[in-house]
Amino acid sequence: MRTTFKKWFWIWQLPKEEAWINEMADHGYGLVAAGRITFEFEDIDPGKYGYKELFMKGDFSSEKIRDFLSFMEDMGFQNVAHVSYPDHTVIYLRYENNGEVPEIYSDLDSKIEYEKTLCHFLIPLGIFNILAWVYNMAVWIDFMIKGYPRAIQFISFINLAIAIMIFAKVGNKYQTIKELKQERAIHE
Amino acid sequence: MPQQALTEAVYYILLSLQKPLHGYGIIQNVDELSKGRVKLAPGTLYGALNTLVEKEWIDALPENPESRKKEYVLTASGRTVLKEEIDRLSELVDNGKRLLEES
Repeated sequence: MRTTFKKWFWIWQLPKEEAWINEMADHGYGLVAAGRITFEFEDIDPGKYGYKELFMKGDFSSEKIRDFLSFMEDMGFQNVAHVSYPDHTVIYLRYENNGEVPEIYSDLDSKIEYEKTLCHFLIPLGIFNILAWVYNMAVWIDFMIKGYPRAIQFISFINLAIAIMIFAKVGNKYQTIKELKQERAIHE
Repeated sequence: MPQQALTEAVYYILLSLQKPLHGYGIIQNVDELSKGRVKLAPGTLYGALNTLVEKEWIDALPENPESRKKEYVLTASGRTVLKEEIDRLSELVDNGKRLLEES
């Protein structure tokens, strides 16, 4: 039987989303499809499968991603769903659960590159939200001067709030990258 | 210019590819060679294999119709790199042993 759940995760909350999907699998719900806010599950033996999520540069149909998924399939990871973003894709992989949580990347360089992928996606998004906020505030000020206050422009503070969240996350990611680089300078 | 040190993952991948192997075979071989100490994750292996093919240190063999899995093998330049790395590692070990024995 298939069951659909609606749940919202920000794009930078993939580890949280992955933990939730694995928790669902432990309760007998195996992910079979995903959208931005919808997750479709089918009944499975509880804990039979584990899931990994990856944020990758490129379209799902690109040669790069197809080749990677084919390689991962040989490694025992089956692609069960994906969600597309501009020039990026979130990949959902399923593996037979043997009690160990497999890592996708074991070396520091790959981990650094992976963290950078999300940063490079988030930074233009943050800048876009800042620009949208500035533009809407300018329009609002213009209307105020002309004597036609339009409170609707204040909705643009949502853009500001999103931009702040994005840049906070980017800062967080760059701290992780810095720590990984320090680790690499010693151990690799 | 002296050769840069190889990462442990690349060193073991090159060492494993003296005979043709596919990805999963490499992971198993590295695990066996390092007595379980080096665990190559698939994403890391995928990136490393692509880089090594680009550098022509390994070759991707034409796909076998019986098995979808792509196999890789060490090239002559890969073997040279591996030998240089072994010399470099030997120097590190010899110097380490000598200086520790002297102190």
